[in-house]
Amino acid sequence: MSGKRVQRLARRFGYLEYMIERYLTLFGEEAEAFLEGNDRHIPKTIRCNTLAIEPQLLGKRLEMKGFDLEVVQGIDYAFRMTSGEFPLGATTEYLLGYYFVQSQASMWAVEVLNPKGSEVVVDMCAAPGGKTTHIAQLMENSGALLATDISRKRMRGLRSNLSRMRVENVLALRVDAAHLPETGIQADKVLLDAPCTGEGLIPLQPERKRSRTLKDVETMAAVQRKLIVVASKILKEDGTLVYSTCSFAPEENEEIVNFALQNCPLRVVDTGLVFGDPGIRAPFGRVMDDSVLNARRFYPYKHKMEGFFICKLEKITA
Amino acid sequence: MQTGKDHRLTFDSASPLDLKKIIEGLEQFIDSEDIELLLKDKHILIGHGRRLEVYLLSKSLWSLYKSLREWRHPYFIGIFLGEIRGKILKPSLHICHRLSAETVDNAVVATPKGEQQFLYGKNLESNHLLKLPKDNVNSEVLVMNQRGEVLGYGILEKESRGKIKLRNRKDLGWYLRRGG
Ligand SMILES: C[S@@+](CC[C@H](N)C(=O)[O-])C[C@H]1O[C@@H](n2cnc3c(N)ncnc32)[C@H](O)[C@@H]1O
Repeated sequence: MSGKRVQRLARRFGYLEYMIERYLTLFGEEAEAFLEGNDRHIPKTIRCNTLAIEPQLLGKRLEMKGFDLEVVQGIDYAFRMTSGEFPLGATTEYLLGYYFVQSQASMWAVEVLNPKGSEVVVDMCAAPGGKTTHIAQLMENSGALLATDISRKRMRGLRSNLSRMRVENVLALRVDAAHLPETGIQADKVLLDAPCTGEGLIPLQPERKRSRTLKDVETMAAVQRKLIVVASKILKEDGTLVYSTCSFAPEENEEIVNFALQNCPLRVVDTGLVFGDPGIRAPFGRVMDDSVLNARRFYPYKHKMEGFFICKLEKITA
Repeated sequence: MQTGKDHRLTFDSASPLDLKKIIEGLEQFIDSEDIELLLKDKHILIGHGRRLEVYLLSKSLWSLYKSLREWRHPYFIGIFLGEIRGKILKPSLHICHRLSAETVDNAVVATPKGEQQFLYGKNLESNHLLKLPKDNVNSEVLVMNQRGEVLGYGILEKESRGKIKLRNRKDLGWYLRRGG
C-alpha cells in the first residue's frame, strides 16, 4: 500500500491516516466507494409504535403534515423519509409515542432477535432505549424485559423513551452489566448492543473521522469481550444472543464473536437476513472461525444505512 | 428495604394509605370501573426517593422483580402511575397515554393552535378551548386535541372578570423539554 495514496485519501476525505490504511486493507478496490458513501446523506427512518397506532394511519397523518414516506422493505411498520429534513422529533405524533426515530440497521438487530411476549429478555446495554422500546413492541408489552445500562445520564433518556413509547414490561437497572451473572438470571434471549467506537456513524457524525484511535478500538474490544462472556452466562441453553455494534472494526465484531466461540458454549447461527455483507473471515490476516461468515455487515455505500454489524448466536449444551 | 448510593429509589409495597391516595388521584380523570381494570392482576410498588413514585407490575414483571430485589432496586419498572405528592397521586404522562376520549369525561378540548401552545408548556386562554366540562372550575381536567388524544392535564381557573383559563400542570411536551 503506498503511503502517498493513504495520505491523499486521508486528506481528500478528512480521516486519520491509520483509518485509511485499515479501510484499504479491508475493502481493497472498494475502499474509495466506501469513503464516498460515508459522505452521503442517509435517509432517516422511523419505527411506528404498533402498541399505539396502526402503521397505515401514522403514515397518512405524517404525509398530511408534509413528510414524504415509503415503507421499509421487510419491516412493514417502518418508514423511510424520502425527501426533506424535517423536525421529526417535534410533532404531536412523536410526543404521543406513535414513532421512534431509529436507524434501519438497528431495527434489523431487533428483528433478528425476534423476541416473544412469553419470554424473559435481557437488553444489556439499553440506553437510550431505541432497541428496548422496539423489543417491548415485538413482545406486545408482555413477558419481562430487563434493560440495563451503566450510564446515569443515558438512563434518564431511557426512562423518558419507555414512557413516551408506552412500554409496560421493562425492569430498568442502572448497573454495570458485567455484574448480571450475580443475579442468577437465565434469559430466553439477550441483546448485546455493545458500546463501540461508533465508526459506522460517520455519515451522521463526520467528526468521528478523526476522533478515535486504534487504542480506543482495543479498549472497546476489551469491554466487549467481557460483556459477551456475561451474555453467554445469563442465557438459557438453546437461548438466542444477538451481538451488534455500529462499528466497522473487525476487532469489535468478528474478533469478539471468535473470542466468544473459543471461550463460551455458543455457536453462530444464520441471521435470516437476505441482505448485508457476510462477516470478514480473515481480517488483517487473522483467521476466524468459518461461522463468522454468517454475521451480517451493513455499509452506508452499499446498503444506504449506517455502518452496522449483527451476529446471531445460540447457546449450546456446555 | 435495601439502600445504597447506586440506587435512585428503594421499593416497598403500597400501604393502604398509599392506595387511597392513588385511587383518589386516578379518580380525577378515570371512572372507578376503568381504574379497576387498570389495577387488575397488577402489583403496586412504591419507589421511595426524593419523591414517592408509584409503579404497576404485571405478573411476569413481578416475578422478575422478586428475583432481583435482594440484589438491586430498579431504576424504573412496569407502568409508572405517577408521584404521590401530599394527599394525592399526580398521574404520570404514561397514564395520559392510556386514556382516550372513550374513557374520560372530565376533559377540555384544545383548538389546533391551543394544542401547540399547550405542548410548549403554556397555559391556555378560553379562546383556545373548544369544549369545557361543566362545574369543573378549580379542579384538574384532562386536555385533549380534536382527535380525542390526551395531551396532558391542567386546572381550570376563573379569572377576575369571569373568564376561564386553563393552567398547564403536565403536558407531553415534557418529553422534549426535560425527557432526554
Ligand atoms: C450502543 S449504545 C446502546 C444503544 C441502545 N441499545 C439503543 O438502541 O438505544 C451502548 C450503551 O452501552 C452502555 N454501556 C457501556 N458499558 C456498559 C456496561 N459495562 N454495562 C452496561 N452498559 C454499558 C453505554 O452507556 C451505552 O448507553
